[in-house]
Amino acid sequence: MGLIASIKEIFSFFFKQGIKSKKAKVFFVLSMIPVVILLIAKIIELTNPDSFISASQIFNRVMVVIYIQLMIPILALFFGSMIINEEVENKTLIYLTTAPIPRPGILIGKFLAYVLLSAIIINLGLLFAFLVVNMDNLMEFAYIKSFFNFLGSGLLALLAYSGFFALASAVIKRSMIFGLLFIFGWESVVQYLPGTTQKFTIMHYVKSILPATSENVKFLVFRLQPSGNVESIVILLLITIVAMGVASYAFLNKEYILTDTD
Amino acid sequence: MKSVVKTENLSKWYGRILGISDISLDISSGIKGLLGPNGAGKSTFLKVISGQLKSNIGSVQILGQKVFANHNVYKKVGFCPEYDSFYRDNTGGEQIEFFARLHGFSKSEAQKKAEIAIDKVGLLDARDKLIREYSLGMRQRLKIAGAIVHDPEVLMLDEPLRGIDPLWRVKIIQIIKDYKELGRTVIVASHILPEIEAMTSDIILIHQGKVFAQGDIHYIRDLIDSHPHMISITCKDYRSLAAKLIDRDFILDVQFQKDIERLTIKTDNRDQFFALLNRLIVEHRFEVKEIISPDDNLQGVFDYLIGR
Repeated sequence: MGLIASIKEIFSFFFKQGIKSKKAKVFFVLSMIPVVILLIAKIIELTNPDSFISASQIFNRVMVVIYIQLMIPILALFFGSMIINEEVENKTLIYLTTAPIPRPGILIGKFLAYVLLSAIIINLGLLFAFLVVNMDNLMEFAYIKSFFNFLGSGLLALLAYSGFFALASAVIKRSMIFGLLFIFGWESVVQYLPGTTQKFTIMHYVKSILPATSENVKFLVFRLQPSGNVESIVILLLITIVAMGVASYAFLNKEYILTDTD
Repeated sequence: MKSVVKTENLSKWYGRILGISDISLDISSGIKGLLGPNGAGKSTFLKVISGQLKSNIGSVQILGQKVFANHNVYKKVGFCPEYDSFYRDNTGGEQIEFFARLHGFSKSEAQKKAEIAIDKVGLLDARDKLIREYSLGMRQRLKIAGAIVHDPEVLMLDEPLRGIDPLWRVKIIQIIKDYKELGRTVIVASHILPEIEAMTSDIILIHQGKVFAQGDIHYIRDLIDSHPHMISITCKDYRSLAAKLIDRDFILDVQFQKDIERLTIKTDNRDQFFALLNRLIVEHRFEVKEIISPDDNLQGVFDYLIGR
């Protein structure tokens, strides 16, 4: 079987598996928590127009931080690491690596399945959040444009982070710990450093393409010295492609010892 | 005969732990039994020859092709792993159909292939049940269905009868034998001798990562002629019988089991021993209830060869 056909088969199987999985359901519920908070805020705003903060402000100041800065990296870490780790832990890798399909097809197929799954979880959360915040202004073009900008940025972030963590899981045994240290250590600190240092984080490029021009989003882009939109998009895509390329090479050549063997 | 699986000086270790060492084999069609105790290196050998692990030294070829990460060769290989591992949120039918799809069959072909394989292992009625609801025996049979769904030329089975009930053991053994009749190659690993014995007399004994002996069971049986044999005799006057045997040079050891009136003799010359025993039974009219020799099955061969 060729690479494309194998990617298709693997994608199809693991996307269906992912949709049915408890993990996806848990993440979906978690992604709905901000929506509930926004709904409460919106009800307060509508019933009390003099309230000191609007749902829109909460969305921009807090929810975007939760989705973009927290949920996307964590989802990407979880699903990106799972690409290989779950096969090794469940000892099911053997069924894939003894099938007549190119090994990169396994990795890329699962990567695409999990990125789509994560994107659905995140984007549904963002969509509901957007609908709640703008329920009285749904047709306003600026809001719709801003929403699609968030979706696009989120998707690029998911691709880059998932690729990066897929690479980590292909080459490191405890990739989950590495990933947590990366998200809450490196990314959390270095993105706020001045000068070019912050460009060594993925989040820098994600934030650079966010619709961060409004005053309300200044909180999110604190200390950001943004790169250009095109540069950021290219670099995020490059991170994805290079990470998946190296991960495929590693997966092609590495042996995975599933357990103490006889 | 044409070589199907060929290994040369195959060695594999995990850090400081030896998996297999210097295994050179030429396996042709038929059923080859891979025999050895737990930890002997059987599974490691299967994993290396099936391309799941890389050898540290040596080479392996299946049908003339290198194996590791060579997906083209896997079209011809079916593998049943030792692990009880599945995508448990799928039904048995979905799982086997997925495996068939990975072998390049169209959806309708894959459904048909999966149905045939599942039917062979007797799970047709359970094909729509989630795998997590299967019993251990059913899961084991499902693994075998997964290994044969694409009708492979080379079938590798690691402990295939584990957890399977006696009725289905017989049927699975027959499926394996049928593969042989089709001119295919089957490599079966087990630490349970009667299982291997029921499938084939062509065996490879593995111990501590090395091939200890290989060939037909009768050939291996000849190899042990110089080793002492155990013969147990159940007899009412077992002590008298022992007294008449014990002064012979070829009797190395005598043990008693009083509760079952059994005498167990260790001898390094079976022919002389049986000649003497026959004579004593006739002359002294010993009432012998049973004479058994553990050497008559593979367990005896195996135990002697590994020096247990």
